[in-house]
Amino acid sequence: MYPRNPKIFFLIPAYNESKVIGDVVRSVKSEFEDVVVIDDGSIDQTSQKAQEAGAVVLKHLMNRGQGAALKTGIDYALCEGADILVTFDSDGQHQLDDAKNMISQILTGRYDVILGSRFLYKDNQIPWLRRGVLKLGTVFTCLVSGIKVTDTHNGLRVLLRSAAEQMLIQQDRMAHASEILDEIGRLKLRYCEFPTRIVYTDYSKQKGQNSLNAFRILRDFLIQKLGG
Amino acid sequence: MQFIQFIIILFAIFALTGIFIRFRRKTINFLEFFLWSFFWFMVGLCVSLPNITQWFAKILGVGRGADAVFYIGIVSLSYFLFRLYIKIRHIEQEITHVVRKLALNDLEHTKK
Repeated sequence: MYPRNPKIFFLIPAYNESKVIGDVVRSVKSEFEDVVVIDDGSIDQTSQKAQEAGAVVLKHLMNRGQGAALKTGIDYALCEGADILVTFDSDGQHQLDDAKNMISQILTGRYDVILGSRFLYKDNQIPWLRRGVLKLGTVFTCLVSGIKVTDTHNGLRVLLRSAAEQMLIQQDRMAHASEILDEIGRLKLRYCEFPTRIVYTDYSKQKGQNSLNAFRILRDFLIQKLGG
Repeated sequence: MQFIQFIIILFAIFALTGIFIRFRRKTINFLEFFLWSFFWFMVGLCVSLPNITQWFAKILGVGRGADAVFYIGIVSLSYFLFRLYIKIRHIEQEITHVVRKLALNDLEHTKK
């Protein structure tokens, strides 16, 4: 079913992450060969730092959003013959061990997509506002997409090539996370969630999305669902 | 004729002239020319002969002519706003498409 040595591509969308991107790439690169950073129009040294750390860098000339960056990475990885695609945040919140365990899980052949969930990992210290917004997101996703998940906006995902090939990602901004879940439902892909540890540092809290962005995500996603 | 009627009619004539010039320069197509001309013509007509709106209000079952214009205005504006939003979204998607192509092509060039 899978090649003996599957080609695993890590896709890391980044926007002005020069402070941490080097460490994130080096950490992943220590165990995986194909690391792709999609620099989404950064105005700092993100591209250079990522390149120095050994990543392949795709540079957007202007900021188009995380969804757009991820799609660029997916297109590239599929062209390069990826068997497994891992989406990974650039701010250092995700743990490589979690990604490795998720890869092992997908290699069992029982799933097409493995989704990270910060709520399944009990020790995560999630700010209350974010916890509330994300919980509302799970109810919304269940109602709209028919997908039952505990965490709708976790950037750590592992996808089989066949799943990535079928998914239509049209949302450029943060609503892509809801769109991916919607696609899983539409395509009836086999999925499961995996507990992931999230490290909320001052840096990542400052860089991460504002919980109030949820309204914008909801608007973008609904307009697309309504045929816009 | 009241002063406000004079101002609006003058503005409608100004708008119609602008539309005609743009059509002649081919910056808008015939359909756009027709629709916008019709719109400003109707504005001019309703302002010059306000009784027309009364007749129209009766057909719609609304009390006053001014109310009919107001309701239709709100509905039309909402529709145009939605169309504009969708158009902007499409343009944004096209920009993303171009930015993506450039990013992938740049890497291809670098590899060579």
